[in-house]
Amino acid sequence: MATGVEIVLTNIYDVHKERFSASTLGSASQIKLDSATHFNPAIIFNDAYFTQRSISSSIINEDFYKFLSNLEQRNIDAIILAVKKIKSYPFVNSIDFKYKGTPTFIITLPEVNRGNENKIYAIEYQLMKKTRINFDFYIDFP
Amino acid sequence: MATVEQHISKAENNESFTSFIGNNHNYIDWKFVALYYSALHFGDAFIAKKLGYGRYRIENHDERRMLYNDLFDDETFLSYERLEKFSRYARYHPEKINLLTEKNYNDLLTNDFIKMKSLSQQCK
Repeated sequence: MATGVEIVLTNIYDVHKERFSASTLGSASQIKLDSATHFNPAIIFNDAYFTQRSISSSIINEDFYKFLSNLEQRNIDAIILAVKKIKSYPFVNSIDFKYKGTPTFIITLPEVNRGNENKIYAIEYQLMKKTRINFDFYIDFP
Repeated sequence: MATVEQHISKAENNESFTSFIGNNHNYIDWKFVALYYSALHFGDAFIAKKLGYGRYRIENHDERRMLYNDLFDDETFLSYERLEKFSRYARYHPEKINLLTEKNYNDLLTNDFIKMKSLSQQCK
């Protein structure tokens, strides 16, 4: 079964393969985004800090990448900021990304906790204000 | 779009349905759903007041969320989000029945629903 990182890399490959040089084609683990790429989702969504906390890597569906690749840079920056902020909270178990008409962050928390949930929703509120995009932060519990 | 008064009437009707269910735990999921739809109509009443009856029609939930994000203060928006998510657990996720407790319901009622209901005061 593929790990989260493998799924992420495979998705990056599928969506952005036109950006990869011929020498990198083949194994998903060898994929490198070219220098013209202005963001690297693998780093943004699966950074070392997150994995050091033994938290499972994020799963990102292909349509979410397509959504990202059509955004203006300032909106990508706002998303990166939001993701970093969410990841900085020690109470966050995991964060996955889906796009089914609405860009969705699926954030798993260990338990119902008003204060913690509101910290997440506050990020959603600000992200929607900044980008004018209807994000859906779906808080899940194990 | 419905008038402010029509939305408030619908909101109150949904709120009274939660009382009708009372403490019957077999239908606690519907209490979460009714509480959310009551809150939603208080929110829509506020939108109708702000934008003016007849000038705007909310077509779907996405559009509603953008309007709420625009016109609500952050705390009220956060409360709407909590109510909406618990309603979603109740409607679509039977595996989350453990979240639909009286404790969580009362927390939503006293902290989140009250903020949405208070929007009706600003409609007068």
